[in-house]
Amino acid sequence: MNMTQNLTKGFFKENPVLVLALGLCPALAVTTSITNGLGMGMASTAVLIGSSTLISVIKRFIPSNIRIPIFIVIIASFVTMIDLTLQAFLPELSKSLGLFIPLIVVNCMILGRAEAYASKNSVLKSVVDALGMGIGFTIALVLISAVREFFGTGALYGYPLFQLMGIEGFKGSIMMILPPGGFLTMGLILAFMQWNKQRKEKKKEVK
Amino acid sequence: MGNILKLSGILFLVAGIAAGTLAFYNAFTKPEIDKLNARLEAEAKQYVLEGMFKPGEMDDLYYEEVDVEVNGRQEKFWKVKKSASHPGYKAFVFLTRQRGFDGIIETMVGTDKNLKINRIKVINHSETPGLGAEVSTVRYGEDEPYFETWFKGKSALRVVVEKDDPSSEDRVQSITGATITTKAICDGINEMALVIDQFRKTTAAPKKILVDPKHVVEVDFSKLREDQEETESAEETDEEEK
Amino acid sequence: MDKMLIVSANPHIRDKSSIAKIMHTVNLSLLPAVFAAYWFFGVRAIFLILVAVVSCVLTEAAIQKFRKIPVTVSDGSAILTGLLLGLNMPGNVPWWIVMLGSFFAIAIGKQAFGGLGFNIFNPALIGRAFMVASWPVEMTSNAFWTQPKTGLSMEAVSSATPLNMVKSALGSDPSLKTVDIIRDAEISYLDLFLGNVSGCVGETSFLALLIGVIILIAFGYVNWRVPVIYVGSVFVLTWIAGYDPVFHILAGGLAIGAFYMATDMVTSPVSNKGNIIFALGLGFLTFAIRIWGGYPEGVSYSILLMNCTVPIINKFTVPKKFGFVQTKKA
Repeated sequence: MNMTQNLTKGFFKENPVLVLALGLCPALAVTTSITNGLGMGMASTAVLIGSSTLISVIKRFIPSNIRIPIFIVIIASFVTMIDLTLQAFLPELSKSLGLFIPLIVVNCMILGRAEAYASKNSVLKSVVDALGMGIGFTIALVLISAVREFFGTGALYGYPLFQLMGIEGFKGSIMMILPPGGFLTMGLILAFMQWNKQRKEKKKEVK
Repeated sequence: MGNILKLSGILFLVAGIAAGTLAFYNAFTKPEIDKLNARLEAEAKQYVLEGMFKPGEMDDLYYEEVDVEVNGRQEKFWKVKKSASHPGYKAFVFLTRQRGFDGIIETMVGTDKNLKINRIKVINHSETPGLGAEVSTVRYGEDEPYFETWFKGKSALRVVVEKDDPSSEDRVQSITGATITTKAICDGINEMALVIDQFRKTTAAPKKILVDPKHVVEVDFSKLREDQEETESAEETDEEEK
Repeated sequence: MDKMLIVSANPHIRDKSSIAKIMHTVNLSLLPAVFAAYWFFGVRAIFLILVAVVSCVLTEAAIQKFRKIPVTVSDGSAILTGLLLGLNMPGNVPWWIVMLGSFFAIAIGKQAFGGLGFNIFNPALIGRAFMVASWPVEMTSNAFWTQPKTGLSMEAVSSATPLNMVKSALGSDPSLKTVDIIRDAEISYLDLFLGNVSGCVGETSFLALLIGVIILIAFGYVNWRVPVIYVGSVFVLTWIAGYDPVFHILAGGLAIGAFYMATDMVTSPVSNKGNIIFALGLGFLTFAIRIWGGYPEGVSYSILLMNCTVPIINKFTVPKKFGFVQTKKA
């Protein structure tokens, strides 16, 4: 597997949320607007790159019996740093993501990559893998939040499309920005991806 | 045994390094966070006072903080003067915290000397999007949340939800489908306004003030005795100015 | 696949024409209710019902085209969903909300599960629940209910539903009697029975819905146990709890829910025993939501909740196999 493949595999083929089904909690909870989805995606990517790099660097010195607590300590440290940074410099984002920033600690995508990849591969490979997975995570979050924001409020990235087009009186479906909308969107996207995959496999068989 | 000690040692070392790094990073960001919070608070205060002072005076306003204990909670309000040396205060600013439909709603309120509301600003809330969250929703093409404008000119002491008292002059509409949220904000404003009102008027130090049967507000006035006299004299001077 | 072991809701083995025949009979039996909607709420009610029916049919056809499976719009099931949904709308609700609700009902409530016969929930109620959760103001606030007989004029007069009235009056003073509240509002039992009260356009007329369901029972398309036990248990429970039982069975959506939604063949249990358990559950939930809950009306949520339990009910009420003798444990 070359470097490009290593990077791009996380985008769609092994997308952490949509294919590996990791990190579903933030993918459902914070994706009420593209701003939130993007913010969460980037914060998680930063933590993922930091933890994967560090774990890959010190992997020789980590005794395997206590690797999980050590991973968690490292991840928690990065999360705390990101949390403080957001509070200091991006207070609006920090306010709207709220509790879900500290909860990045328990995002299984990050621990999963540390355990499955960073602790077994070279530093460069781990960084590339983390970057790819982080981007894939961000793509998934932005996708879900775009659907929810559009149907929930009629806006995209804060721009009220309907009003900009001069259509008055449209009100978004509140349900879409409430928890049921998260599950629904997630389910429909997963169903679509599955359907697409099956269709492709069928085509291959025919050939 | 030796193995366990070795493992604990490594874990301890890792945790120690992490703690050290975080302590260092915290020391680096803490002043920034404090600065930012102070700036946000200052901005909110200026926002709710807008229009009461001349634009040039806004930056030099002097906020005199008064700490009170309300129902066992530490609350505070500010008496606002043109400058530190100016004798009379002209406005009050206070922050109310009230339980809404979902979590605490924090509202900054600016009033004139007679507790007539100038402007309010909902600073923090976690209400339901589309319903309670309308309190801070800015309609497309407008500058400020429409909900906040309803409060302009109402008495902070008597402001009430329309449903509860349809004939009151100080009624505000409730947000459709979110009466609880609207009511919480009104109650919060009433409560703090009553505290300030007692502080403004009474010469004696009452132990208990009844806001409404549900809220008994206790104000410990012993701490405020000194402020009291000051205010009265200040009020006189302000009167003279007119 | 262990398909042999699955106990599915009826119809089991029916040819297509039979499904269509049942569905069209049900649709026709709703005509009195549609007429009542027109009589009390005017042209706008008919308009809303038409929007719902057309959207449901188009959605079904579009999805079946997209999935490249036979288009079965002519079996009338999409029309039925549209009719029930349209009859369940407040008179003043914007038409595009009805359109989106109908789309959701068919796309998510029915086709996402695999189409007719595979859906767990009643599609019309899924649509309604979606609309209530999405546009709570338009779907539940008093401004969107219309006073009967004002729908013909351009500006319909809004008015609270009887259940809303009673709920909010009891909320401010629990000692009030339901009978007194509705008497003060000048609503008689006859008004409630005929449908001359504010409410969803097609739910108010107990009489029209009763005519429809009697026809269906006569044809054998509806198991009489569900509507009778459902309505009966609400009557008994509200009576025991000290409320006005006649008011509670005549007001709100109990009639349309008990007669048409709870008796949906796909989403109700198979056996008679199962249907009795199902109906008792419905009665209790409706009573609980109306009396203790935050909403004035609980019929749609009760039916949706009981729909979830249908597989379990079916599992525990499998009829004895013919010729099967149970062996006693030694």
